[in-house]
Amino acid sequence: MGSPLKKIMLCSSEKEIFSVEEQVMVQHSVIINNMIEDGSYNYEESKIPLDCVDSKTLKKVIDYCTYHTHHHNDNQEDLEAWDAQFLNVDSNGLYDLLMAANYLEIRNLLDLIYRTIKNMIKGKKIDEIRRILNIKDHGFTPEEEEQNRKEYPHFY
Amino acid sequence: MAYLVYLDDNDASEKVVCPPFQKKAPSNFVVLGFCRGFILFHRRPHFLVVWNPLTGSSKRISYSHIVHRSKPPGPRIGYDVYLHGFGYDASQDDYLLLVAWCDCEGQYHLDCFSLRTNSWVNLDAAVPKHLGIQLLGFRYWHSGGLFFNGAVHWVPWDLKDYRDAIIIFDLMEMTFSTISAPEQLSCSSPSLALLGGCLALYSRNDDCRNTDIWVMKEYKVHSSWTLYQIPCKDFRPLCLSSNRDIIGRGYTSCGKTGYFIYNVRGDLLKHFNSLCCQLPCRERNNVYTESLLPLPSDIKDKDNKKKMKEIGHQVDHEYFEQPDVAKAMKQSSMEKKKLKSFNDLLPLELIRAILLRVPVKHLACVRCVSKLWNTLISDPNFAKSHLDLSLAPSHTCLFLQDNSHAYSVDLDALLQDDNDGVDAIALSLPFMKKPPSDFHLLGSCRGFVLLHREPQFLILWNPLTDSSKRISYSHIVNALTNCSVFDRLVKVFCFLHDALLCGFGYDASQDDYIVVVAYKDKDGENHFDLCCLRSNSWINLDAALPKSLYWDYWKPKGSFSKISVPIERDLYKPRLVLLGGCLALYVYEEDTTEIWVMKEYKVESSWTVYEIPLKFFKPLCLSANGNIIGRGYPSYGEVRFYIYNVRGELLKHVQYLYGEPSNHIRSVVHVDCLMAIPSNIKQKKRKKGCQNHKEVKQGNLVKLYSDEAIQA
Repeated sequence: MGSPLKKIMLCSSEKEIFSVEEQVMVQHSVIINNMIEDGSYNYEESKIPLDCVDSKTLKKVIDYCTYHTHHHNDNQEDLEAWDAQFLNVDSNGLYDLLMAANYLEIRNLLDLIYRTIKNMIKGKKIDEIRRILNIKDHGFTPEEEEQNRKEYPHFY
Repeated sequence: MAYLVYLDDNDASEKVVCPPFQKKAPSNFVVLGFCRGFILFHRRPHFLVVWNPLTGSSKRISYSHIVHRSKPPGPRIGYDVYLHGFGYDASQDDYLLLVAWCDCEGQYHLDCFSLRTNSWVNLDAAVPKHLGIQLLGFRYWHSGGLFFNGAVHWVPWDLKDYRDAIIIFDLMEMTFSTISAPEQLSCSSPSLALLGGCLALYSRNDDCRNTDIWVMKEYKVHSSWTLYQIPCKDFRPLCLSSNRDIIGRGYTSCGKTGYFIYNVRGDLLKHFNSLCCQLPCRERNNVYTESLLPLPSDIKDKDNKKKMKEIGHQVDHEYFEQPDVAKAMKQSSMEKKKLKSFNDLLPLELIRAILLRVPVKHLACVRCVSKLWNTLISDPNFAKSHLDLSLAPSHTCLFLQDNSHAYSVDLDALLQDDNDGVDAIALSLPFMKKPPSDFHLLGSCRGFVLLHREPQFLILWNPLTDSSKRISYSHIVNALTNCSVFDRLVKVFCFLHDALLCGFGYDASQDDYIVVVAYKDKDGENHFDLCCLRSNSWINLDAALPKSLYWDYWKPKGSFSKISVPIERDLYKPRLVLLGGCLALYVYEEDTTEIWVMKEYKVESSWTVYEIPLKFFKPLCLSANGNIIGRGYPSYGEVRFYIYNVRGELLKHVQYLYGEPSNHIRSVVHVDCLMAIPSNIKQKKRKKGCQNHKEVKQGNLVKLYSDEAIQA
């Protein structure tokens, strides 16, 4: 069990260094937890390189972990309200967060983003989904697309 | 000295810590309570300490106003004073300390200390008059209260004197209430504990060998008290491990002491004896969750607010500046920052993970969004994962009307607020003939429905994908009828009426669906047959059938065995249903419906009763937040769907709008899935599994059996 005041260094793709309470990251991120546990992290020197996470996204991720560490006893509604506010970003930001959460294995953040994207899709018409997710090349041949539209006109 | 013992699933370790405000010539500390990572101590002679052992922050609380006015003079909280408790009021973000005491005139008082304002408040007005003396004057409460669910809980020393058992003081509302203890609880000094987010009472069993732990699975639902017996003489449950095993400390009758981990069936899993733990009998255990929370104080709060305000200003500034910047950069940024495409950006596994969360009924639409998605969804493993992970379960109630028309009702749509009526969707049944033949519903399992079509075959059907398979049972018909043509005309075996019991289930080890049937042959002998749908063949299982058993309750142990029914009295015509992953029975009483739910499979004391104040209520499934969805008939020829909470309060009802519902519609609830019918070709790739339990249900009968039985 780590001391609460120990800090660890995370390094974004822009080589910016973020110093975070160890406990915050260990609690949320499976890979950082593993790294600390197997002793491969040296508190004096190591910086954990996160080459595929940019500074903006990393800051958001740290915000999320910090808030959820300190407010895990809050009631569910408050947390959900905070989460909704937290994910009020454009879709690029959302995808970046998703990939960062996936890379760092932050399960509750992953789950939150999955749910958010699912709700963007669920119950929508196909044309709308394509617009929201910016899917220009759907990959169907014109004939297939034509047939789908004929077969399920109410989906479009 | 204080010892911290870390309790983990697999490990326990200890650490010596030094409480704050320690003087030379060590003073006496007593632990009074704990809450949200803080521990409350009493230090001799007369003050209290709140301490977070992890961060080391602490605060001293004086109670001199009580000391000076009290009788006997100079009481010490935790020794002489009556009940006390330590808790947290979320509405004010404040920690509160409650103390009951008696002044020199013999008057009882209840005082409350707020850590935020650092002041004592008198709460005498909150004490109900008829309870006053009983509550405050009663010396033999286990004086330290347990904080849980926004309230402090106390339990009396001896339940003989006080049957209402648990006294609750709500810190937000400042009111008292009570919960009664389970009737069967033995009366010798029970104590309170918090186990896995549930309130629990434990006491040494009268036989002095076991410890009884009663857990209240649902807060304030009396019938949810569930008993676990731990074969340990004096066991103090501390907490649950992540896989719901009970961690505690104590000593067994054979002299072992230390920390133990038991499972809910009372089997010892682990014993840590290396830890320093003499067990002073009267000393209290305190389990607390570590937290990094700071102590609240008014002064800090002001600082925070100031900071917050400053931040607020900055944010405002940024906010106001942004539009200008945005305008200036608009054109260039529009070109630079093109929105990336979902499909190009995200790896396949992430797209798949999102699609797995989309409810099945939307998948048909979603698969037309792009070829990539279509490929992902069409993969047979996707259907299996979607069902097994059940990240987006959707329940559908399937009806048969006039035995020839099928309708489905989306039960999840019932939960939407704006829904006043619900439409049934007509489905076309497979193997339909002209003129219509009679169909009957026999059961459902993992997205498939088992139908019987008259005269003589069974149908396995996935209503969503509309794939189906025909199963013949001619061997049973032949066994039942005599060879002569005339007899056959007289009596033909009809599956629906003549089968003693039948069931439909799934064997995960073989990835196969299974139909079982029991019947009497023409000589009056019982037979038990099983059909594997993958190979579409029947196997006789008579050997697995113990002769002594009645057609009653069945359960596996290589063969059949029983689960006992919850109560002593007779249940008239009980029926089975699956509610939220638990087996449940329901019975119709005079004006109500009783639902018995077995919260933990095969743990008999976990049967919990819910009473629904409606006659002929048929529970169908649970909503995401644990409310019971069911169907009822308010008047002749009318069908409604109802949603009740576990306390039997009606939350919503919705009228069934379709057509003329008859009073005898049979229905099954099934989970939508895209699974394909298992076929023989795939089977060759699979190994023969062994000993996996299958669960089969129909009507009021449950049967489980294992592969062992087949081989036997």
